[in-house]
Amino acid sequence: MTTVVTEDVHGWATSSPLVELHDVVKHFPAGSGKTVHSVDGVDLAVRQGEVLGLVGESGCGKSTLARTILRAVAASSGHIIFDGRNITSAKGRELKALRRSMQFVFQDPYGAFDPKMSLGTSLEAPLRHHGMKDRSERRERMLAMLDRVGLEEAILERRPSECSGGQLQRMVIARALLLKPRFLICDEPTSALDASIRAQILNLLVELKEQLDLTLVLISHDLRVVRYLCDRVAVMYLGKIVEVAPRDELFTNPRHPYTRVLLAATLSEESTADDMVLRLKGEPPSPIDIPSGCRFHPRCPMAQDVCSVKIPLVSEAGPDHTVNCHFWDEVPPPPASAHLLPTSAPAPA
Amino acid sequence: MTEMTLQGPPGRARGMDGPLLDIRGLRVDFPDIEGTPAIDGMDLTVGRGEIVALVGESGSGKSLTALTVMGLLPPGAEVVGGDVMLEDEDLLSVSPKRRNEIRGNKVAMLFQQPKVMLDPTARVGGQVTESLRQHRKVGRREAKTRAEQLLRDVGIPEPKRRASSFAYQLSGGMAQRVMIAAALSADPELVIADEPTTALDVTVQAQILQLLKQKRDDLGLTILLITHDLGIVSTMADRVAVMYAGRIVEDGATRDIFDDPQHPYTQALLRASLLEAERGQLYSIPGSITQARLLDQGCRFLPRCPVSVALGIQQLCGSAEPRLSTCGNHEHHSRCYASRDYAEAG
Repeated sequence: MTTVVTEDVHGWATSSPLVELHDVVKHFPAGSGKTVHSVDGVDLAVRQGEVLGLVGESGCGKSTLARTILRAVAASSGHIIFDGRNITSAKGRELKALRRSMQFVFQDPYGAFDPKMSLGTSLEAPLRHHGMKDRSERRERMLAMLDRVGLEEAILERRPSECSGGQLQRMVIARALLLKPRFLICDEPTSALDASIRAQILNLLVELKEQLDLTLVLISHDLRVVRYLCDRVAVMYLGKIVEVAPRDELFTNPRHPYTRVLLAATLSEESTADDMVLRLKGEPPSPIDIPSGCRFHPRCPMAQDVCSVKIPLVSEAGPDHTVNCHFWDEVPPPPASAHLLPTSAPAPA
Repeated sequence: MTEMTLQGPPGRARGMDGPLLDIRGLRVDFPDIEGTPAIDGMDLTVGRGEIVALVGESGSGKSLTALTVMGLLPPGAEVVGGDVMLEDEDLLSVSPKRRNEIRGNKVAMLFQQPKVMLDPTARVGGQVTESLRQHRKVGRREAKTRAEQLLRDVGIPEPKRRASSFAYQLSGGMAQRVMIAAALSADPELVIADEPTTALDVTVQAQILQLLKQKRDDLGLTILLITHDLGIVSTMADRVAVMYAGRIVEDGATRDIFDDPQHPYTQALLRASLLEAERGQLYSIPGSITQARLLDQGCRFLPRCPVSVALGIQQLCGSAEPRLSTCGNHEHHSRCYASRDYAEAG
């Protein structure tokens, strides 16, 4: 059994993007003429076959960005390219076909199924919807998928309340993969689960990704999960991507002060009381009133005068490493967060 | 049950120097559900000013323990044995009136989902001082001033304005601060925090944990912290108690539990939470905790235990439950035949 990274790390330079975002914006009206800037100009590429981590605090727009990519909501402006086609304004038949190639795994497995339906009925729904008319064919497809995610046939007769969180999360994954998508976005797939079940679900995702040749976006605020699963990581703050880098590079050499703060705030079994020093004041500002200049400046420990005036443009901080910060080359190395350094997965050559 | 009571960890003597909370041989059952009781011979002591973490998988009985102490048992649950002593009062036998006096006044609780626990139809200022008005006969005007002070103490900016907010206007972190302010309003001695930061971001999580710790240092608060996140335990707790299938299987000083875990379940939990791959697979504990409820004798962890198999002692493990016995130092106990010093310990 190979690990997540091996092949993908070396394939990066040549592999073409499966999903490309060009200046994608999603605004919502907030009443009294105000606007919520949930996603505020995102440029990002998801490469064929990779696992891209998307991290950031609640309210930074991660989930809205995911929903915009999947066309669950329409982008306010910008372009979304999937497999070379502009899907920003796809509709009708084209959109329905698209839904088969792109799927979503939700955060809360307990709320993902209709509590009054058997899980079998819920699982069958996407197959019916996408025109698989033959009953035995549907059954066959479902059983094959259950086998892949490690569930017994008997679970189809049960209702969600009769299952554990781990079983339900496997069902959520089974349902997402039933239509054989190429692209999967997992939104906090393990945050509702305890450590042992979390490990099982992560193992399953890795296995399925390899077997089914999936491209994955993993949204999480648990950097330990991101460290384990992702090839590259994009850090989002208040509607913008502020740093993108290969996993090892991001964890050992963060160039954005916000990334550094996130790393410092993640606790692990090796953390002690001394590690719990407050490194970030306050909470993210409202996406209705975006701060001027660099949007992180009111909370930034390194902010200077220019930061409140001038929006930082993207800088190349290294190979395949981009950052939006005026002072990216002055950001100190990460604090002693050895627990976040990759330990067992092979480092890129 | 009597055996459990006698076999509890060698607690300090009762009285002012004794533990603040002392749970002995507690048994809580759901009579309608088949299997052994959900809490089955639980012993736990929490000393004054201590932060004790109670850890274990979902379904191990952690939250039910907290609800029992609070006197908030869910429908269908029944206490069938044991004592829950808060100082010198048995919380299981006090009158409902006394129970209400204790709740909020001496023991308060923080929950996982602060936004769900706040009343959506009332302004937060009033909710913060509810227990104060209940217990201390504080007037409305004074309560208002106190609410602002309490909100300021938990680091809420513009407390005056915030006091007149509704829950939906608060972020998760703000809402948990409000809950902490409410919990501390009547100066309780013990706060039970059930997964207080699970729903929060890492940055906000660090702030909330810091706040709790600071309240312990400033006010001498005692905290029982329930969590399955061992990273939090490592930074917060003085002592750790590991719960499995309704009883404590290991307890000790935090560093001892992390550096020298003796019970195979503790070892497995630590390994699973490290998220480190071995040959590409993350370790997860084999089997499920539900298997334990069907066992009526022997070690509850046996069906999932790698150590018993490796040592070839399944027969011993299956025949009688091991005692919670001292290992290493007198504060460290483990309920396993394979633990260090098991044979010598009394």
